[in-house]
Amino acid sequence: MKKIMYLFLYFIFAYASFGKYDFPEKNPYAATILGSTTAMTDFALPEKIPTKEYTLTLQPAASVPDNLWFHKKFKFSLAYQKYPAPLVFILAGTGSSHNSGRMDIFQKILYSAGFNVICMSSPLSQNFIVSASSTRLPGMMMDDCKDLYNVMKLAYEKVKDKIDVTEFNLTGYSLGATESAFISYIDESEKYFDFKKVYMINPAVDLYESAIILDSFLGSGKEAGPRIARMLDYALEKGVYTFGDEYEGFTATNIYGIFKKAKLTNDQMKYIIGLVFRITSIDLNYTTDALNKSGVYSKRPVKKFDSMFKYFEKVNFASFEDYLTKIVYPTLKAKKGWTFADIRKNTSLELLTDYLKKTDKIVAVTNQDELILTPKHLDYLKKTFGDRLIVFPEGGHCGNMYYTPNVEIMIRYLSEGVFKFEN
Amino acid sequence: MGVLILSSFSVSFAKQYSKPDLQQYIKRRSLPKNVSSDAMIEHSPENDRKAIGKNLADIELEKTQENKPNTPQAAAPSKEALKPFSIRKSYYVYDPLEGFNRRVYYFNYGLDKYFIIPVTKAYVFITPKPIQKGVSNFFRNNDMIKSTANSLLQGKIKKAMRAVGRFTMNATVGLGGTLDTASKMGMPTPHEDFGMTLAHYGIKSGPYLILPVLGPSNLRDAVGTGVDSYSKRFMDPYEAAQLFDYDSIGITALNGVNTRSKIPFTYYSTGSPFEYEYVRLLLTKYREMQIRAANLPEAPKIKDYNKKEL
Repeated sequence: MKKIMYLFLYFIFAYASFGKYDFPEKNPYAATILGSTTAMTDFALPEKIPTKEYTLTLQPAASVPDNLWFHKKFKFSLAYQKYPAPLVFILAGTGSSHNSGRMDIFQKILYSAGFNVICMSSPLSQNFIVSASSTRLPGMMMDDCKDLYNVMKLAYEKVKDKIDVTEFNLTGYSLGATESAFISYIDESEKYFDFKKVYMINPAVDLYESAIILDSFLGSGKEAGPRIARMLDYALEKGVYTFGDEYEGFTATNIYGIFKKAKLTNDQMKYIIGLVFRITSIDLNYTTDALNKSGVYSKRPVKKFDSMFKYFEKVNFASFEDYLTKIVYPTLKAKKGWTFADIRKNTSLELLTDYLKKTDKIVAVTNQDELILTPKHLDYLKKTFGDRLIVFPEGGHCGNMYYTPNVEIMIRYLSEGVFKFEN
Repeated sequence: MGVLILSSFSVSFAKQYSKPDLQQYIKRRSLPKNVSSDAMIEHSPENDRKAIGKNLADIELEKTQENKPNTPQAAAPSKEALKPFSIRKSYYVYDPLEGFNRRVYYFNYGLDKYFIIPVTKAYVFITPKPIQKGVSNFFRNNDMIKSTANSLLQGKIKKAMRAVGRFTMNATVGLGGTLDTASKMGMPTPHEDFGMTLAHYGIKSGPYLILPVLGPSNLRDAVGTGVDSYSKRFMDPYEAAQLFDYDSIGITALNGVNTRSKIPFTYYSTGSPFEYEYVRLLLTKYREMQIRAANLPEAPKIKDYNKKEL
């Protein structure tokens, strides 16, 4: 409780007159890349916090292919307080796992602010697809979130002896933010958690359209292969000079400096952002194809120690769009008789427009230069959320999540329920 | 090792010790000055946003137009670019023993999970931070012996002298190597090992290998590692000074635990079905880079590496 009191006092002072929002990185691409670090955070995070990783067995072992044996169990993690405290669920961004770098930082921030924290992997992450997804064809928001909600219940059941929860809150970034809206919607009827506050960070409005934007950063599968190869060579050339420096070397502390000095062009930064997303897409394409036996990339089951390179070649840097058109669409067409329009409808937040308009426990933050939103999306968010939306002037995609003022707004909302940005 | 460093990018910034923790920060922070609330959110400022802000149809269009190469080094389409692209050529690493390697990879996973990581965790838990730092400095300083010997083998006299200088400085002023005085004084950290010596004399890396316990390597570097660790016993200043035996099991184990505690990677942790392939590619590229960097005619400085024509 002491921690929460400190925070409370602090916010009273800090918010009496708030400094101008001055995010140091004006380029949205650079911001997006640096957003995975705490370079913009004024306070230090604890190096170690009390956390525990748990596993849940949700799928019969026989249904897991031999070469994906390491995903037999669903994994999630808990950071626990010793005293009664609110519990926050964090939902990871597209394809991220519960212990990815960004989730780690969120967990530390929220733990430091006095919360119990449970980190959940994205329904598009490999671990979730194999071990927890009922459809094993992620991307359809409502289906994914029903699975996710189930897993969240089981996760809480598993840890409830360890923590003393005063109330349930929910947050998520990127696609995790979009999912938190769906989870909250499901929770309205099930009332298992009865979430009090839901905080969406840089949500995608339409998974399909946002994915196409990110796909376009690196181009189609055919273009991406040579492009990534060139990027690697380029990094190698640059790296020779970086690693060759016996004076500075390549250490954790000067990465920011090196990044700054490297003066990457916008195109190069787009490639990096696109590459991170593409790696998720490659895995997604392969794994869902193998699980659904749709035969696009692999015809027969792969053994535990078999070489995977020929499948890597076969997938050929397939994009998220490829996933939707080559795997999801044919499968759902055969199973449920869906048209592509049905799929488009199911990737969008607009399914929930009515709910989002009237509920007042959900708030959202996004950025004016958000990469994954079109102006239409931004308008939609403004119209739907009204004064429950803050649009920061810069930050790219999730680039300012750990910027001090952003963290303050998040903690203030989750602890006091006050959502305010005085600029 | 490269991939391990690369994979720790995102976490590494969290470890800036100089910042106050959240509670202290809250206490310390003074009242910010009053600022008018101009509506700076009103307009989208930058041009890049426009490109993305266009309708999706436009993006589709751009995608088709965007076939021209964009990275600087490919400004003029070279002969390379005109050749049909082969994934195998760019992303495959010679790995005839893959079946065996994958089994060792799996074996290492088990060893790591049930033995090495618990030991490492215990070490990190019970050892005070300054002592851990001292241990890590000590072993890092000892690497200078290896660097000196291998620099000499390659005829890099200046580099050998830099390594000797660093070793002596830390071994004396730095209390036997437990303090890194040399870095504070701005002395360089040259690195050479026997694998790099072999590479210097034109020996190719050979097939990719996963070594038990030690992890990913290749035939040449595996030989190099073997030679380096065997020759340790002949270049042991501590035994010569009748202090302790550097080659003893205890010191070797401590070295191993210290090294492992600095690597944030665990086997199968990326969750990707292609993890083995990614690790193989990135580590090979990393090693290539390290070897090329060591053989540059003049040791470069990060300060001016951007001026280099690439």
